This record gives sequence, C-alpha cells and structure tokens, in this order.
Amino acid sequence: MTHNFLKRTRMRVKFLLATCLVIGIFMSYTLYQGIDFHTKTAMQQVEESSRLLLDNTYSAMRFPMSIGDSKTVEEQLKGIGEHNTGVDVYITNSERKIIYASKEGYRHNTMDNYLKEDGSREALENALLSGTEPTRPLVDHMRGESSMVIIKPILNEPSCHHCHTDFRPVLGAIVAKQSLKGLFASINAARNRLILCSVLTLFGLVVFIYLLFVRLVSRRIGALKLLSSKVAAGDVTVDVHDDHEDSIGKLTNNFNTMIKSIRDRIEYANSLKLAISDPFFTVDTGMRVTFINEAAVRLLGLPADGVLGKLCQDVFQSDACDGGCPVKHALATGKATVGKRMTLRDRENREIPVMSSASVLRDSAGNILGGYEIIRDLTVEVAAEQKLQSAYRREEEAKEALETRVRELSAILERAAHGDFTTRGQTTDANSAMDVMTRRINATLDGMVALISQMKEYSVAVSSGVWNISRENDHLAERTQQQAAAMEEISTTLAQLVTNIRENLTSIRQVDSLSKDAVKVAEDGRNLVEKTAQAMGVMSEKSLKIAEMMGLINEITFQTNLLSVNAAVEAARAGEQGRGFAVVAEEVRNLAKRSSSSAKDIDALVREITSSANTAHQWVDKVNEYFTKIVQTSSQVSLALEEIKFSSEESAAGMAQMNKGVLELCDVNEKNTGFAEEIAVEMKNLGDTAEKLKGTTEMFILDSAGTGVAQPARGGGRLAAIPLDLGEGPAPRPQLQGLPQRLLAGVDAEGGEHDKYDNGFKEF
Amino acid sequence: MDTVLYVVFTLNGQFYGIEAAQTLEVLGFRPITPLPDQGSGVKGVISLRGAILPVFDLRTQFGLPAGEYSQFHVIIVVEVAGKRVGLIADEITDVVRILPEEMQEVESLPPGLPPNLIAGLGCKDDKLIVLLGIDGILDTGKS
Repeated sequence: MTHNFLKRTRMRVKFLLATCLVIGIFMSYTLYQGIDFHTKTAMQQVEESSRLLLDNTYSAMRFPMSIGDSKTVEEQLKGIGEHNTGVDVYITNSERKIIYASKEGYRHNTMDNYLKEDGSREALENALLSGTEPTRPLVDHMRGESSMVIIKPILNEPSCHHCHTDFRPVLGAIVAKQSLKGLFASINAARNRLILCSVLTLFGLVVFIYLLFVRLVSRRIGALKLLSSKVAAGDVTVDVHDDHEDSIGKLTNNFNTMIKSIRDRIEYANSLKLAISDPFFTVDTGMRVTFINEAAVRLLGLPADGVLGKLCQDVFQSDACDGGCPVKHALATGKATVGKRMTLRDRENREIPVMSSASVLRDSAGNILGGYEIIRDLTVEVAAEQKLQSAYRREEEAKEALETRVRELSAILERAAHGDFTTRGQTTDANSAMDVMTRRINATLDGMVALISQMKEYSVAVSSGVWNISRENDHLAERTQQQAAAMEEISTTLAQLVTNIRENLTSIRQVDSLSKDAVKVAEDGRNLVEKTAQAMGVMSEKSLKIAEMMGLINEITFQTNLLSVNAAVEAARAGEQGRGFAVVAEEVRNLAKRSSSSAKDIDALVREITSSANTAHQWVDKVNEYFTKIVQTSSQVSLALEEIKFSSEESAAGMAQMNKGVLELCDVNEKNTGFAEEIAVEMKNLGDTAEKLKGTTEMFILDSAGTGVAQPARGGGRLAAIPLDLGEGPAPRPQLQGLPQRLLAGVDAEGGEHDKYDNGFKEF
Repeated sequence: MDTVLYVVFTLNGQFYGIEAAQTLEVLGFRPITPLPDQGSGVKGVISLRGAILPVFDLRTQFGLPAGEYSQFHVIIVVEVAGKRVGLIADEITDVVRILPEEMQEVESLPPGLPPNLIAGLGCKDDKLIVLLGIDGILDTGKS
C-alpha cells in the first residue's frame, strides 16, 4: 500500500512529505525537550523556594519551640501564611497530627486530610519514622489542584530533651505544601507559545526547502524528463543545455552525449541504408512499407511519396506476394532469404525479373521490428541470357553449314587426289572464312592445273633441250680440235724464243772477252803507277837526308852566333882596347845571321819538297786503288756475264718444260673428247626420261576444254625462252672443227720439235 | 846617357836584354847536375873550365811555363854580387847597342814590381826589349 503510494506519487510530493516528516519529528522532539526542561526547571525552582521557606520556618520556630512558646510559633506560621500566597506550612507530631498550621483551620486535623496521594503519605510516614527527608519532591493532587509537598522531619535535638525527653528520635515533621496552579499556568502558556513558534518555523522551513528543491532539482529533472519523453517518442533532434557542475548537470551532459551517440548511430544506419544502390525497402511486422529508397522507386516507377505506410503487396504487386514472399518467410522464421528470383510489376504493369534477398530487423532485445528486402534488377542479365541462347543457336546452324561445305570441299579434294581437277567448290556471297578457303582451294586447284599444264609443256621443252645439248656436245668436240691447233702455234712460238736466247748467248760471250781485255789494261796501268810510287818514295828519303844535313848546318850557325856574341861581350868588356875586335865580332855575327837565314830558307824548301813528295805518293796510292777497283769491276762483269749465260741456259730448260706442258694439255683435250662422248650418251638417257615425263603428265584430266598440251597459249610466252636459250648458248664460242685428228697430229709434231729445242739448248 | 851594349835573348817569344858589360860568357846548352833544392830556385850546377857555378832557369825565375831544353838553349854566365851564376835562356838573339832615345821610362810601369829587376824598356827595330837589372834577377825567384 505504502509502496504503491510511493511509486505513484510525484517526486515533489514525496519530497515534501519526507521533509515535513523529518522536520516534524525533529521539531516535536525539540518541543518536547523544551517543555520538559522548562517544567523541570520550574518545579526545581518551586522546590528550592519551598525548602528555603521550610528551612527558614524551622530555624525561626526552633527557639520559641524550645522554650515552649506556642504562640510565637503560631504567629510566625500565620505570618508565613499571610506573606506567601499559595503556600501552606504544617507542623505535625509523630502521629501526623497537625500541631501548627499557616492557616487557622488546619490545626488539630490529621495530615492525611491534606495529603491525598499515597506516595505523599508514605513519604511523610517514612520521614517520621526514620528522620530522613524524601529525596524527590512530591506532587499531591487535591480537589483538582496540584501542589508540591516538601517534608522535613523535626529531629529530637538536645535542646528539645527537656520537654520531649530523648526516647524518640523524631518529634514530628514540618510540611510545606506549595500550590502549582500558577506554575502550570505559566508553563502551559510558554508551551503554547513554543508550539506556535515551532509550527510557524516548520512551515517556513518546509516551504523554503521545497522551493529550493523545485528550483534546483525538480524543474531540471522535469525538463530532462520532458526531453527524454521526446527521445522515447523517437525525436532525437533534442538538445538540452545545463551548465551546472552538480550531478544533474553531469546527468544532463551525459544525456546530451547519449542523444548525440544515438543520433550518430541513427545517421550511421541511415547512411548504410542510403548507401545501398540496389532497390531496397523495409516493412514493419504488418507488412507496411516503412522505408523505400530511390532505386526501388525508380525501378517500379512509383510516385516519390505516398508509398510509405502502404501495404507491401499493393506497392510491389509481385507474383511472390501470394506465396513465397522472402520478407514474410524471414518474418515467420527469423532467418534471412538470399537470392530468391521473382517477378515484380511496375506502375505500367510491365514485368520486371528480379532477384531479391530479405531479412528481419530486430531491436536490441532481439524482438522482430520488421523486415527488409534488397532487390536486384535482372532485366539486363535476362536479356543477355536470351541473346546468348540465340547466339548459340546461330552458332549451331553455322557449324552445320560449315560441316556441309567442308564435306563438299573434301569430296573435291579427293577427286583431285585421283587426278580429276575438273570440279570446283561453290562459294556464296557471304565472303566468310569458308568462302575464302573455298576460293583458295579453287585457286590451288587452278594453280595445280596450270602447273601440270606447264609441266607438260616443259617436258616437251626438256626433250628439245636434250637434243640441243647433244648437238652442242658435238660442237664441243670440234672446239677441242681447234684448241690442239692453237697449241701447235704455241710450240712454234716457243722455238722462235729459243733462237733468240741463243743469239743472246753469243753477244754475252763477246762482252765477256771485252771485259777481260779491260782488266788487262787496268793491271798494266796499275804496274806503272806502282813504279811511280816507288820513285816518289826514293825522293822522300833523299829529302829526309837533306833535312838531317840542315840540322848540322843549323848547329854550326848556332855555334858561330854564340861565338860572335861571346866575342862581342868580350869586346865590350875589353872596352876601348876591344873596339877592333868588336868590329870583327860583329862581322862574324852578321855572317852567322846570314847563314842562319839561308839555312832557314833551305829548310823551308826541303820541307816543301818532302810534303810535295808525300802528296804525290798519296795520289799514286789512290790511282793504284782505282786501278785495282777497275780490275775488280771487270772481274765482276765477267762473273755477271757468266750468270747471264747460266740464266739463258735455264730459260732454254724452262722452254722445254713449257713444251712438255703443252703436250699434257693435248692429253687433256683428248680426255675432253671422251667426256663429250659420255655426255652424248647421258643426253640420250635424259631425252628418254623427258619422254616418260611427258607420258605421265598426259594422265591428268585438267578441264573439259582440252589437255595441257593443247593449251600452249597460257604458258607459251614463258616457255618459248627455254629452247631459245639452249639454242643460242653455244653461239658466242669459237667454231672448232675436225678436232680429234688434228689434235693427235699436233701432239706428235710438237714432240719432235721439243727434242729439237732441247738439242739446241745443249749447244750453249 | 851613353849608348849601352846589351845581350838580347828570348824567353817564351819575348825579348830581354842584359848589359854586355855584366855578361861574362854565353854558353851552349849542356847537361846540368841537379842539386837538392830547398826553394832557392837553383836548377843545378855545371862545371866550366874547372869552376862550379850554379844555374838558374829564367823561365822559373819569371814565373813563365817551363819547357823542354834543346841544344839551341843557352846559358848566360853573369856575375851577381860577386858570384858567377848561369842563367838559362831560350835563344840568344843578338848583341845590340841601344841609344838613349830608344830607352823608355821605367816610371810609367805600375808599382809593385820587384825592385832592381827591370832597368828599363828598349825599343829597337820595332821590337820591345825588357832590359833587366842584373842584381834583381835572382831576387824574384827567392821572393
């Protein structure tokens, strides 16, 4: 009950109630404590004043009582009664009988008449028996009036013994009875004020706290609640701002962050949704369209809006709507369907072949919210498939046609293999590869026909060529004979050459003897020169002797001079006496000088002669040398002539060799004749073979018009050149005739001549 | 100054003259006996008619290049400070009389030449003759 109440009531009410409760309890407690304290304090004060009064009364009575002055006691009590309103003082004896009282009427009554409460009576009795004061103040209610009772026992003191003796410890008691009527009245007044104040304070506090709560908490949470309600309703565009740093502020910020995160996720999901390029839509569990993308709208040609919320079946009109819908299947089983083929109908009722995949949409708890379907337009693929099939059919037809034509062609080729070239393949206007091939085969067959025709022609040409070669071979034999004649001429020329060489040898001999004469003359000259040289040597020797003699003359001259000098010196030393002698000495000296100069002249002449003789001697030697060289040269000339002679002889031998060579050539010529005969035989064989070839080519059936032989017009232009070449080939060569006989004769004749030349060489 | 008679000889192609009055004799070349020489410049000694006289080569004395001796070399015998000595010359040329006008002044020669060696320069028949003072001849070799 309480729990339900708490759950249902509003926040601020709950908070208000809780605040009231707490503050009420607190205030009540405080109030109670205050009143209690106030009451106790008041009671205590009353008690204390009563005791004080009692003590004062007792001390005031002691003396009059000790002297037995009852009157004073009475008066005093009366005075107390008059001065203290509300207070009654009683003095009892040990039997609780009132002896004195502050009011006149109370005397001689028992105390029990004034003490209604049992507690008070017991306390009095106890005090009278034991002499102890009651520990706590006593409250007595009498006739609807409360009063405080204070009891003080009057002990039997020594001053009392004279009247009361000492066998009783307690003589009586003094009792004060203070009325509490005023006190309670004041206490009640104070309590009432306090309660009023408390209630007022409570109210103010509650109002203040409530307002504060509303301002700080309730209103903000309310705003938050409102926003969250919006979010819960699906509006995530809300934005709340709270700049407080407290928990609610943080809560608000977190809420903001949360909303932003949710927005991001929604945006992410939307992006994913929008990024699907294939047609795509979602439905709820009731198969109503909740989303459809541009591609789907385009595919079906739907209006851009007005689709959402419609039944899926109405929108798509698929053949699968009545059964086998992938979305329904997915919603029923919770499993995805992939690659389901079906047909949709667009707005203009055209069929569209598609392939679709579907699955369910779930919330975070795994509950199915709806489903979605991705559609793939297969129009192009289906068209392509159809094209492919038709292409395949065409291919098959073409293949059959091809096979037919290949069979035809192979038949034609087979006939051709058997030599029948009359049939040709048929071509169409399509100009296909087969046509090209057929044309090529036709061309090949034509080419073969042409070739065979040419072969036929050529075999005729070969026959004629072979005949021509045979004829030319005969010509060759004639030419070989002519060659032999030419060789004879060569032999004659060689003989002439030998004669010339012999004349040369004669001339060389004459030159040789002349050269020998020259050597002899040169040797004579050399002998003469040698004699001259000897004469010159003698002259040189004589000149040397003259030179020796000149030395002697010089010495004599020297001595003479010395003598003349000494004479002059002596004459000078002799002074005047030597004057005559000095003259003589001078004469002698002059003489010596002259002979000295003559000697010098002679010496110069002799030296000149000697040098001339030496020069002459040298020349003679040179002349001698030249003569020697002349002799040597002449000898060398002789030797050279000898060598020339030998060379000439060797030339003659060379001529003989040449002659022999010419003979060998003659032999070769003879062999050539043999070869020509062999060639003639081979040519005959070749001619036979050519005839056979011609026969073979005849068997080919070329066309209805005629045989290859009957078609000279096609290859005639080219073939004409062949026999012409063969015929004209030998034309530039020299005409030789009568070869073998002349050749042999020439060889014999030359052999004779050769011997003759040999003999001729031996003469040298 | 009177005309003086000089004996003229050659050394290395150059003409030198010694007063005839101071010349004792001119000898033909003859073998010289060498002496151990200690820097006096003496070439050796010869015997002349029993007397021994020291011989000096004038080429050595005048610091000229030494040459081979031939039979045409001469030894001029002179008296120096009372002693007879022989002087070897290349060739004796002549005995000439030199006139005062043919004499050249000695003062024109540069200073520092040995004293008493050159008495003067005579010019005869275009030939320049060095006239030697006999007392100074041997000083040159010693110095």
